[in-house]
Amino acid sequence: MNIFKIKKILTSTVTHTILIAVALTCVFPVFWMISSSLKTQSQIFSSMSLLPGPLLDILNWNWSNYITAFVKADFGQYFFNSVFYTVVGVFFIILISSLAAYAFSRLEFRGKNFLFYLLIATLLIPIPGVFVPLYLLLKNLSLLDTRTGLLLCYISNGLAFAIFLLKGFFDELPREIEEAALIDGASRFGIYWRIALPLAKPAIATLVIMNSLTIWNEFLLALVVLQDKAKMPIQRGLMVFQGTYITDYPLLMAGLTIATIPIVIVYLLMQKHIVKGIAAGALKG
Amino acid sequence: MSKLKIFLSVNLCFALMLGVFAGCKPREVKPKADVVIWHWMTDRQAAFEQLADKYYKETGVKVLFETYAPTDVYKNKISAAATANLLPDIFNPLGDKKEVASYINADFIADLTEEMSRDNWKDIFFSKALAQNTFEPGNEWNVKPGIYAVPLDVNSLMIYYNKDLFKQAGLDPEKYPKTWPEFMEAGKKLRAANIQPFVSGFGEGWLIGAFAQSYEWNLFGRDGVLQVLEGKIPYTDPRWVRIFKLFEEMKNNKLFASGIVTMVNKDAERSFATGKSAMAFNGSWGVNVYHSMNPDLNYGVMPPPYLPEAKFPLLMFGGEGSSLFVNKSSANKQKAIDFLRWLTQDEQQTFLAKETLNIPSNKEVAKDLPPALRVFSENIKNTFEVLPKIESWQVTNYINLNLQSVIIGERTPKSAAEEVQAEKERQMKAGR
Repeated sequence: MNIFKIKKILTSTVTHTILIAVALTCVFPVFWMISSSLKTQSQIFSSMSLLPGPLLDILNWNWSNYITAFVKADFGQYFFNSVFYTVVGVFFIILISSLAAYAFSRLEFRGKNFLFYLLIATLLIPIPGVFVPLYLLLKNLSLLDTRTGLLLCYISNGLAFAIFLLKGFFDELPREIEEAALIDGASRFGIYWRIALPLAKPAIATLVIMNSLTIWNEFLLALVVLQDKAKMPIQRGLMVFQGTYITDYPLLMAGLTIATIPIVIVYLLMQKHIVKGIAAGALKG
Repeated sequence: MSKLKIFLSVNLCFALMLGVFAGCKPREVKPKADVVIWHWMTDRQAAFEQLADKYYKETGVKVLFETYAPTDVYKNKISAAATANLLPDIFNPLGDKKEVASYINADFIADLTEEMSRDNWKDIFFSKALAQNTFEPGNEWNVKPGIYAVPLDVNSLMIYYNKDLFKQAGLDPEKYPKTWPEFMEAGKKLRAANIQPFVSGFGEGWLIGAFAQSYEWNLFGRDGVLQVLEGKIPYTDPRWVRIFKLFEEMKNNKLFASGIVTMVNKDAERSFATGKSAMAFNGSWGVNVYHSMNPDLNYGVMPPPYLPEAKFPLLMFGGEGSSLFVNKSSANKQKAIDFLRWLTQDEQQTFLAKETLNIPSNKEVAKDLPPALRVFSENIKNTFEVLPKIESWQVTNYINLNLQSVIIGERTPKSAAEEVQAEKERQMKAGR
């Protein structure tokens, strides 16, 4: 065996060992969550075993935790609400941010850079820091305890980063394609709609995943803006299992598993675009 | 892109917008009940809802309990709602006396003194629970003297001990250590038997502070504690150095569970519930927690051991557990007060105690509790007295940090006391 082959095998072994170790650290919490969701409360504290019971006894694991969690936390209603907030929120974030990013990238107007950096600066403001002014604003707009109010918060919260990412992506697109389209008689909006937007698909896929995750997992804003239980998102359901002093871990883990499934599906559907999107947008931007 | 695609996209966009705006017509927040209560006690929601149903059947008044947790989110919601003048009929700002005082002074909280005196309502409560919701004449926050909240339950902090582990170490499980030297001896015997003697969530500053405060009351008494607060007795006083030394003694005798300085109370509770530690300094809520973690745990409850040389009784952290305040500008103020009056009567408090395993604020009901909880309720009278002054959070923080430093051997008791005193002087100077 020559030195180059040995070097190649060694590099490959080291790389794969590191990757397997990283993958295990990522997968372990998910495995622990699923395993705990099938245990009893006292089993969680007394047994460190990774499996809820003997493998042969799989049918006797506490599968009923899932039904109990679904019913007790009223997941049906919350699940629908979360799907609604996520779909509508992400749709408007993509629509508005792509239009704004295209304008920042291609159009020339006074104060363009100032406006762009002002927008980016909003990324530095933590959400809990704006609770009170946000609450007052929503009250004055009569949007407190409404789905519209919460959605507007979600949309505005996601816009700055989306514009930043998409602008970086649009900046990298060759201007020649657009100039050719202009010569062929396409309007500005036509170029955006027919050329820029389809080419930005990887970045959009990245944004869909990131914003879906953010909105699906969001809890603080919903709790502050909403009062009506019927409008609350799925994370509110998980709260039922966390008492002031006692947490019902099996039901909480079962609830978490249920809440995780849709977002894992979105990720699996879009994952092939994510690396491409981040590399093309954020890094170059 | 085909015309059909454009048409479909525009329609989808329109439909979504229509869905959002039509489905959620803008409007002012309208209460869906006669009395709305915002609380943070998620584990009591089911019991509260049952009581609300009962009250509706009895009186026709609809009460709605709305939960917002965890507590920091709840606090955010309360402060935002207060700013927007949209507080519910009943709530709790979840702050210390200074914070509650700011709500009272801003006219957000109703004075309940008159209502509490009617039909001797106030007499049904543990006096300690009521005292914490009372502002005395001449209080430092300039609040009009009176009672401002209705206590729902009470708690206190004591030491749980595992009877089986005591037996294993050759200790009598029915005779717990009453004095500090006995406590040290028990700790040594437990360690010799390879049992971790003592655990608590000392990583959470307030628990280590609460343990130390018991000895402050033991060594200084009421007047002494007050003089320390007023800066008339320095933290470098030999008695405060002695308090720091107690932690050093525990460390030297290997009483502490490993990692106690960074341990949160949830981990400490797990350590005690699973029999990994023999004693745990924890609140009365621990009865419920340990039951959920290990229903077969065989334990007893004892007060922190007193110092034989101390001249004053050893008191414990505790008193008020959860309380509810009435919105001063609520249109349903009277209905809210009437509901709270009903909620604190024997029958409802018995139900709450049974369902939630907390010590009710109604002292008559507290007599019929399970044994471990009864020990706590009997010791409510031995909790710290409510003083007209509180220590600044900066100094409190310094005390807790320095106690932790002593445990890890970073400071000597004397240097820790000097550090705290230096901070006290800084705060007093800033206050002036």
